[in-house]
Amino acid sequence: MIHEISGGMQKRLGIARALILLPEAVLYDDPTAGLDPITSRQIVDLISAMKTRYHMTVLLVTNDLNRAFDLATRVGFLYGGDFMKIGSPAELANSSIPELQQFIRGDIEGPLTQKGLN
Amino acid sequence: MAIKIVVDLVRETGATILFLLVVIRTVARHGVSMSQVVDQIYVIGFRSLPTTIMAGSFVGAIMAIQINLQLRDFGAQAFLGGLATSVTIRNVGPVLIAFMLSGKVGAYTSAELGTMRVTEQIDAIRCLGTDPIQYIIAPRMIGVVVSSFLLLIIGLMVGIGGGMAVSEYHLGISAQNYIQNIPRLVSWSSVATGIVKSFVFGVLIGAIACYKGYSASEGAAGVGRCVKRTAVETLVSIIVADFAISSVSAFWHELAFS
Amino acid sequence: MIEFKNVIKQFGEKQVLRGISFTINEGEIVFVIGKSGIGKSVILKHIIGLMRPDSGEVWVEGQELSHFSERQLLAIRKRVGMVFQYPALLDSLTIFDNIAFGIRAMTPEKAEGLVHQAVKEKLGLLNLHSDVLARFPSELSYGMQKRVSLARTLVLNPSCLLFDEPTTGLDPVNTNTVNDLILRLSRALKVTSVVVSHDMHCALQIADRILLLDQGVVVADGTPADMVYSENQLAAQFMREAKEKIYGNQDRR
Repeated sequence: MIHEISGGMQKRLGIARALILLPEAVLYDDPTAGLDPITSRQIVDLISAMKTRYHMTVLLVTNDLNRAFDLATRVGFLYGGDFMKIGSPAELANSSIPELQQFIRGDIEGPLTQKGLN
Repeated sequence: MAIKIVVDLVRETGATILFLLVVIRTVARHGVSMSQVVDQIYVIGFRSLPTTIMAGSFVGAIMAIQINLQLRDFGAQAFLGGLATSVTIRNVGPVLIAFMLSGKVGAYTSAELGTMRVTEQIDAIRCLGTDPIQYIIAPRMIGVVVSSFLLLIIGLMVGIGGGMAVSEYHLGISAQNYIQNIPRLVSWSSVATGIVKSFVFGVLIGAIACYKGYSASEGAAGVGRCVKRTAVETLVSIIVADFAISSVSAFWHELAFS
Repeated sequence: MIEFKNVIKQFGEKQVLRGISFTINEGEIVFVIGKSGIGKSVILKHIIGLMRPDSGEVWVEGQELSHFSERQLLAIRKRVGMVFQYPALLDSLTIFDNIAFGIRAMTPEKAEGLVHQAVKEKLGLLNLHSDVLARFPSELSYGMQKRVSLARTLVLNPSCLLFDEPTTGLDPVNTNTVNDLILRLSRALKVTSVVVSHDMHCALQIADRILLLDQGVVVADGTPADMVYSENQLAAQFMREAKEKIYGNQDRR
């Protein structure tokens, strides 16, 4: 039964359930939130492997920058209801937009916190 | 398999009764905030009034129509008022209205408590030096019991009105006739039965909803489960209680009149 | 300050804690890490008495809690505060009433003026403006709710703070705000902090000690440096994760 298996396994099951019909595109909502690093890595590897094997388009929402930048072809930074920037991981990392810079570096002070939209 | 079901049932029932006792003891020892109770009665009871009135009047009307059918065959339509009212307040009325309340009031309360449980609000309250039974559960349970009781009584009264209305406008027995017949056939034991059932059903809904919500397990799925179980267990226990009270009442009635 | 001696805890057929033992010293920041679902939160709940062990001893500030009643635990809860994973704010109360909840419940004799003061003081610490006080939890963002929940615990001036996954689900900026706060509180107020977290990078940055849990016991216990060079396979795996930060933050120390 579901409650008898571990959280990590449940996550993998959830992914299996989404992929079983071999869709062309998959949407992932924060797949690694609250997972320990080892299980996180397993999930990300799984996502990557499935994407490659079945040529899927993947849209992934996350706060985990490390993995996002690692895995993604393109990254979009959402702010104030719109994408402030979309580009390759390198482009975002080197962007000069102050909000984006603060976000990536995780600075406590900056335009994001000043505007009080937090 | 069957044994497991029975064991689970007994355990759940026992746990619910113990929980009810804990709440009663807490209130007896430490009291409860009256303003919170009044708040709950408003939120739970007052807002369910329109639905109850509607349900009650329809139940009364349906019983009048049904009984009228049988009485017509015997040429005994004069008894419609008394008989329909008796059946409505003694049996059908409390049960059907309680069913409706178990969904509106019971499920709502257990969902609210279940959500508080799974989002750790109940734990947080304990850590902040407050007894969640006194602060959260007791006002709600009292609110549900009082609201259910009052709503049931109102529902029954409206049911009589519904029977009367359908009788006047549809069945050909005047409202006056309908009412005049009531004291002849509706004994005090019927009225008492209706009141006792209203109270007992209220307690059942309150105790089960609060216990299930309080003991909900992790996550959103846990809340869904607890609401489902609340609905099912409340319905079943209402029926069982109805049977028990009806039997005792009938026995009493016989005893008194033989 | 906090000591577990051979604590065993079982849920149904699942044995979550299997004779776990460890010590936490006053003023330390200790991170508890391990695979998801392994019982880390359960440890925190034992420290604050939300759960009792099936066997073994739980010592907090020189008192053994496993048989304490709710009333006896009240004294502990005045000195040990827990910050939950969810904000766990009470929806029907204003932010002010939420933050003042504990202090009113535990010290009902305290004058309202003093309560106001205590609440306002903590707002500043958490970058919250006083105009949130009149609002309700549903009107605030998740990040703000988390900070309010922290304020609620801090207002009692506990000597020990328990954090259950404080940064899970938060974006990088909020994550660092919270981490920074844990660090500052521990240093400035000499608060002992026990943090259950998956944020390895944060652990490396601010923890004095790290406890790695596996199979219901502590399998590795040491400073961040110890853990990074540990012989324990699992520890090495966990720590490798922390070092792989591609777009990292500056050192907070």
